[in-house]
Amino acid sequence: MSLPPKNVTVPAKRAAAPARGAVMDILAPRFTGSGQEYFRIWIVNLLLTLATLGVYSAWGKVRRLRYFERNTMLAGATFDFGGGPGAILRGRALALLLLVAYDVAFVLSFRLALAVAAALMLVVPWLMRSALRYRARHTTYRGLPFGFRGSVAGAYRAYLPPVAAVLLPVTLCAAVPDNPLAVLSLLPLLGWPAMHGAMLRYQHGHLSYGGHAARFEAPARRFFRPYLGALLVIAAGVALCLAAEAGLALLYAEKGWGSFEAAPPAVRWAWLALPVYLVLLLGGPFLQVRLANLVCSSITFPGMRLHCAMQARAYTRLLHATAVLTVLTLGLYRPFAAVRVYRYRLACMALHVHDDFEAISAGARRMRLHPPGLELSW
Amino acid sequence: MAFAIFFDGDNARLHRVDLQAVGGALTVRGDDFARIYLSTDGELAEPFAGAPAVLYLPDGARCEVACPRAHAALAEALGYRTPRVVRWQERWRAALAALALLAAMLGWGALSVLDVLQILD
Repeated sequence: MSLPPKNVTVPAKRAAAPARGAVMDILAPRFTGSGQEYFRIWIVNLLLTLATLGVYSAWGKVRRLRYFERNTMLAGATFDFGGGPGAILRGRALALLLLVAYDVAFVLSFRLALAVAAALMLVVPWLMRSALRYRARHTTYRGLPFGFRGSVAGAYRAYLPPVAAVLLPVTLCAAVPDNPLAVLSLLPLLGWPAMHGAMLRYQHGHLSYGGHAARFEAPARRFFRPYLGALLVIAAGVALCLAAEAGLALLYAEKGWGSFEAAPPAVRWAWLALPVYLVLLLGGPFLQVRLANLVCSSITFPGMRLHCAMQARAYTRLLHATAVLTVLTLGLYRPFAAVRVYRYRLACMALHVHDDFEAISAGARRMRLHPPGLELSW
Repeated sequence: MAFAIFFDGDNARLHRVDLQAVGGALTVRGDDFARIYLSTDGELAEPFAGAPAVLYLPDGARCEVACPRAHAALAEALGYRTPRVVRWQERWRAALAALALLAAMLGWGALSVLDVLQILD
């Protein structure tokens, strides 16, 4: 039996020191779970979810969150999740109801569809805020819960533009597909990176812990760069596909095999799947890494700054390997993949502390949190 | 009985304590304080193999016990009964049985869908 280590400090090999302020200590989070253990939780959750026609999924989500939080250690203490399944169940039932109403409304009348779309736009920001509050207030560290101080007005400012930017073209394209206005309604989506930035600012900038409020320092314009980078990666992949197709067409003509368009369907389908693969497994991870690094490294608490240094190449390799293994095992590798990805993400994170961590912790006190109200999540 | 870390629930300061569960009482003894609770008031969280055991105390405080042997002793002293789903998840055989059941359910579902499609045809 031994005492927990007094100072769980990890040398800053992976993460470079932040630009501002002298760093006194660098704390690295650690994951103590395993793929094998999570597999057993996952398979039982899956079976019970299927057997109860989805109802158990809320309990399953609670168990999953609890497993990952309880196995995440920082400075000798674990995180914890104490939420119940009720809020998740209510949130999922409401989301299902809204989606069914949206679907049915289109069959009945255009006006009704517009009314349901408007209702969705009004409800989604409120739902998002509710879910953020639920997640924060039930996540604890060192015996204190996190808090979320985002206002209702802030939720509407953050979520209404992206929800409208998605719902408006979908609704118009479905209702009046021949009207050129329907296509024009896609234009606001060009501002998606800024809208995404605003959502992330709302999510992370209003967190609090023990009376310490978080700050989120990345301006919305900085979110265009990761998206542009991902677009370039995807464009390069698609260009490579097109060049290879031209090469294949030439080869077919030279060898006298006829035209490439007349190739067997399996070859054509494989060829079509390649760009999709490039988008999902090249552009996707690239964007995730750039956004995760930007978002995490922009979160500060008094005397502390989070730092994330994920590598696009390593993360892409990891996702490729786990995707292939998941397909080969008919999905059974999924929980092992989840653990490997989570462990990698944690290994790339560090908390840069500008003061004595224990002194900062001693100053974190239980605050009166907002009243629970109607809790919803999904 | 066990070294643990203790959080009083009012602030995030870490206390290194000695945790004892004897004669129906839970005693938490730190450098400059001691607290006594009834064993029946302590609630042990669901155990995970690599994570410290977590003991929730009635005044909002909590103890985290890293040593697996101390965890087992604490569970015994508190009369902790593992929930059925957790027992299921802890054993490989039971998890594999769940996998077999899942495969059977999916197979049955697929056959039912095929039957329905045949009837519709």
